[in-house]
Amino acid sequence: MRKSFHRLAAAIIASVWAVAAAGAQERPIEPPPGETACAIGAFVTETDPAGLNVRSGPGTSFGVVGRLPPVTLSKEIDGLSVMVEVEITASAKGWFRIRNARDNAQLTGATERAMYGGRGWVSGQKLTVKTQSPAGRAQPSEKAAIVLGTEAGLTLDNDALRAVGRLIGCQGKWALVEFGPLPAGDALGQRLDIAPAAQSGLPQGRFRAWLNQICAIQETSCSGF
Amino acid sequence: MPWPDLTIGGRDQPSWIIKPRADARAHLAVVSDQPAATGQPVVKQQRPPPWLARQPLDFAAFGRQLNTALCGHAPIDAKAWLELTETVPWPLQDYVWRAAEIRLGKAAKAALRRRDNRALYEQIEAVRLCRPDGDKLYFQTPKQQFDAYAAVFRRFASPMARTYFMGGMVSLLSLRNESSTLAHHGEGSYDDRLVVLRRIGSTGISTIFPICTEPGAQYSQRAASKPGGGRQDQRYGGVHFNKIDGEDGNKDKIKDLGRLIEGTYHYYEKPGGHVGARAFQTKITQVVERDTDGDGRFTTADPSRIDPKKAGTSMYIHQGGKDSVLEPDTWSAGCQTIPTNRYKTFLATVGKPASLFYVLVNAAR
Repeated sequence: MRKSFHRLAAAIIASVWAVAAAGAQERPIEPPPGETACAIGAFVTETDPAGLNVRSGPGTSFGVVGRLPPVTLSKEIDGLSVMVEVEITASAKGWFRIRNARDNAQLTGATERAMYGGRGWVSGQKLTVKTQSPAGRAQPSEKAAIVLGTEAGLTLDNDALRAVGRLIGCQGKWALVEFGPLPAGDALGQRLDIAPAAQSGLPQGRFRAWLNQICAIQETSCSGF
Repeated sequence: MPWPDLTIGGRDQPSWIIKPRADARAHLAVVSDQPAATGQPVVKQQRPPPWLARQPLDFAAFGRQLNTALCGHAPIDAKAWLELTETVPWPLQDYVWRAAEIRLGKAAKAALRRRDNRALYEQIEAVRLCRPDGDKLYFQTPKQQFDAYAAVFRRFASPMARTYFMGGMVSLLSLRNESSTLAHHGEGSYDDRLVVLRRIGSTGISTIFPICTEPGAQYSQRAASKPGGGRQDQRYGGVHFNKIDGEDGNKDKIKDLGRLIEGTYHYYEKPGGHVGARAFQTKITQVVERDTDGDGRFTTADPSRIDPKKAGTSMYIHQGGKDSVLEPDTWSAGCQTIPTNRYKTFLATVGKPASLFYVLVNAAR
């Protein structure tokens, strides 16, 4: 009787552990709850010709206070897509508080387009960042586990990765970015080292990581952050 | 007389440490024109072979023949060798000696130190110690151009880079002409010369592109506006400010622009591209020098100017704004940028190597 009780208890503990472990594996890397302050530069990836709505609060229920122009093709460089640049000061529920939106006239090769330059909130689905960090982490800390890497010495600030990035959250100088899916047959995927933790709980081909050393300059690289 | 300052970089660096040609000619008159003493056998002097005098001069062949001549036991007819170099235009003569200098073996170098070879020794020493010309030069043949820049590459490159180059790998040489970060409204200058070199057997191919190796002040914190109006640094009044980049090198709470120090860098292609095209990045932290006094120049007067760490591997080779307009914008905050209208040709010239060596040399001005 006693033996069977022990077996039953062990089985229950094991199953609870397995369920807990599975649940933990399935949960994606999440942004911190509530509104968090941050100070990073980002780029607007909206391609709708109508532009991206800037709202008065973090959600579609808030009113539109302005618009940002969509991605445009450069007249300076053939085939280069140029994005509007914004400063991000806070995030909440996948939305980001922005300010000082501006066109990059150097890259567009045209006069700056008129746009809303005040404060407001935009969806992170239409924002991306460029990082010069060599690694993405599971938490916004240099001590956290590395979940995204590339070849030793190289950094993650390449066009291909930036093009498939979406902003999920931010905290201080860190940005939580979801990438993917990479275009089929893209050689970049083979040169990335993506840990299972970065992909857990996400659709096939997507992965998330916290990134720092955010470079807000599109046309060149940054050495100071 | 104080010893010349050989510190890397800086506008104060002397272009010529030894006066080569004036001394050489004077000395030649003393050594070579003396009549042979009567009764003594006339020793046949080593003269350049007649075929070498064919125009235009083959720099590499000149170097090889001079090496052979110096290794022989007969004295050198220095005058004949000097006259041969004078068959090429004056600005190119420096490169004739550079092509010779890198081809001299130990025996030849020892022979050069003999008293009767002093005229040649001074020429060789001058090019060994002095920086090459960074201006546009008009070589008489493509081979002269290759020999000239290959000589500079072999003189300044690391042993590993030299081995790659001699093995036929594509190699890059940049000759940097010092310019102010404040020039052209802080948008940088394509005033440096990038030479893509590929050795093929005893000859090779060289292709020249404009490049910018120094940052523009448009990325300087000093050019940014201050709360009360005006610039943070009044010297930056004419700069078209863009964004702030750089690191505080001297702990004065102002971010200072940096440029790569001269040397050899091993670049790899960045996966995924950068600024709309292929680009190149090193895998080892790059050392930069910073304009910590904000005068727009990178000189030894900048306190705490050497930054061995903070730039990381951020000094890429990538495309910049086109140079076919009146005021080109180089987009360089320290990167090595090539005009976008020439970038496709550059990439085609480079090909798709697994990696390539880039040698950056501060040119004489």
